[in-house]
Amino acid sequence: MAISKINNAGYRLIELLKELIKSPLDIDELLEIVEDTADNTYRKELINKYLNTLRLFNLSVIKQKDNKYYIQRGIDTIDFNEKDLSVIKLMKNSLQQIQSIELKENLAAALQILEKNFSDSTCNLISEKTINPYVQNFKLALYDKNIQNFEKYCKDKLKLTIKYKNSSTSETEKYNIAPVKIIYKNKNAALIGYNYATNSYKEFLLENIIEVTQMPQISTINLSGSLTFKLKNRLAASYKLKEGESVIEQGPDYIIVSNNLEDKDLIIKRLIRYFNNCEILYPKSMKEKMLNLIEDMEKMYAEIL
Amino acid sequence: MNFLQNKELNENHNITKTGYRALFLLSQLIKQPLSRNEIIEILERNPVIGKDLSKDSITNTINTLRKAGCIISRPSQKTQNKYVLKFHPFCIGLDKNQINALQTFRDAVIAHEDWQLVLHINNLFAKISKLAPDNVSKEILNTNHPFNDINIDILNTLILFIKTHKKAKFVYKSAGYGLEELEFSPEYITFENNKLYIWGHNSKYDSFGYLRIDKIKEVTTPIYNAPKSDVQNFDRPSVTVEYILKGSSAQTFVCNEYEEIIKKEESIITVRSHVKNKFNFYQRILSFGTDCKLLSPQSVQKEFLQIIKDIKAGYSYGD
Repeated sequence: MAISKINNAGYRLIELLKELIKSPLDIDELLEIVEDTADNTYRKELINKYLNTLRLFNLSVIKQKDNKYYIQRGIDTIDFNEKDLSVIKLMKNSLQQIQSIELKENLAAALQILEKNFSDSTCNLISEKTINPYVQNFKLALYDKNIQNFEKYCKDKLKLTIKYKNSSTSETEKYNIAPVKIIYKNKNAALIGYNYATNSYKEFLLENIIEVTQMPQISTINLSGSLTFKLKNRLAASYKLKEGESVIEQGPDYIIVSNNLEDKDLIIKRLIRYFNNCEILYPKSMKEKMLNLIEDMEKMYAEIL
Repeated sequence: MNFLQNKELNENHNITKTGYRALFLLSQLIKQPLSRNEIIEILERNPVIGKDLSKDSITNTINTLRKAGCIISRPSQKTQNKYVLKFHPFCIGLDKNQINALQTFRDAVIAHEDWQLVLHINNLFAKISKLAPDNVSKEILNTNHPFNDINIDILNTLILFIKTHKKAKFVYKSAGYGLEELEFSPEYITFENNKLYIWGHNSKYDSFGYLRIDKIKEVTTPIYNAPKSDVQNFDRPSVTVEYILKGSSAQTFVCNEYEEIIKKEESIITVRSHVKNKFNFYQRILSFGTDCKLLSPQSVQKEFLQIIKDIKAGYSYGD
């Protein structure tokens, strides 16, 4: 295979730029990269020459206090308009209120990267105009104060015993669960837990969890049988599978879906929204639960007949 | 990025001109595909690079970029004899965790049904999808939102027609009739159950109603500027419904734009809803289960009871 002729100095400079984009580096580290690239030894002055070239190219090469250099903005930048910037500002402002440490750190890092990709015209726009954050009049579920504690429980992977206030009955219930993850629903944050009593997942609104005891045992999850339901007519064609779902049978005007993950109480509330285009098939207990719910709802309007 | 020369530096400083040339060529290929002659022309205009570039030096520079990890296609008839930069490794990119964090933020916003904010976020995420580390992450940024099936050009046209009171012809894929042509004067947009709806006067049926925007397949040139009176004189059918909510449904309840909480007693709330889309409304009420009871009007109670009976009938025919 023919070896293509290349420009060695250009190649060394570009390899150096590639590394500088990844992380801040000092002169010695930069020299090592260049030497590795060329399999040769060079003087440190060569690095200054390369940094000068990058600067002449208008790349902002910044020297940190620890004498490491980094590239402030990328080479392939993005033009953001005023609306984009107002959304970025909204996300930036929301960081103060986001409770999940992991989410906050990752979102902050993502926003920093976006800033590194601002084009010249974006920077000009920012310097010429005051960019206001998008006005948002609602409180995101991400701001729930209890999130940090439960995030830690999920990471610890130890069994939990929780006392939980049932919103419908106002009674306190006790659950032994394996904490799985935090999810965000409407204005609430909830813990997904694997309930050992029913061998199924359940959602717990964080604000209804009254007491938590972390047990010394490692949490384990043995997935029980799935719930299967039939979707008919147009819904069968347009249905978008959710996480943990698969189609196990398909006919001309129906599909049968298996669901492994969803909270068994909540899935009933979701499936009833599909009117008579949906029917729970298995397990029998869930089918009966749905029928009981329908009959209870029917009774609520008995007086109007 | 402009890649103008840094004014504090010039070509007489201690720099590598061939390195500068490689960077400059990369920056030009990022902007657009270029033929060899176009490259020579552009490079020669740059005072740092200077004149008398041979074809070989262009080939060498392209090969240098390729060796550094750029994927540049060879000029051919297919590329109109241009070099096309398909990939370069100089992106300050996002990692998977950062993309998941951005998506979590979008999901939290979607729950609040501010469709305009969701659209702005979608536009932003589409722009930054080139910073994604792989195709799966790129897809998350581009498609993990409820407006995937909506043609954004059609949506933009609808927004414009609402502002300018235009009446237009729509090709609409309706559930019962397949593709049909409608004359429609759009008035406003709503976001319910993760779907966008356009409301307005439908000339074909001489009624005020809604269409699902993802089902609109085409919007043709406006027929005429619909005078305000044309759309404002029509009666906009809405039914005022009151219902109570208790339990977790009350606790997690978020009003949509047609609802207001008119009473709150301990853990029970009473909601007044100006219902325009009954299908969506009944879906919402069904999902509350026995936490919800419709108080009035009786016509809505009756209709809802019939829906419950129909669902029950579906189970009765089973085993």
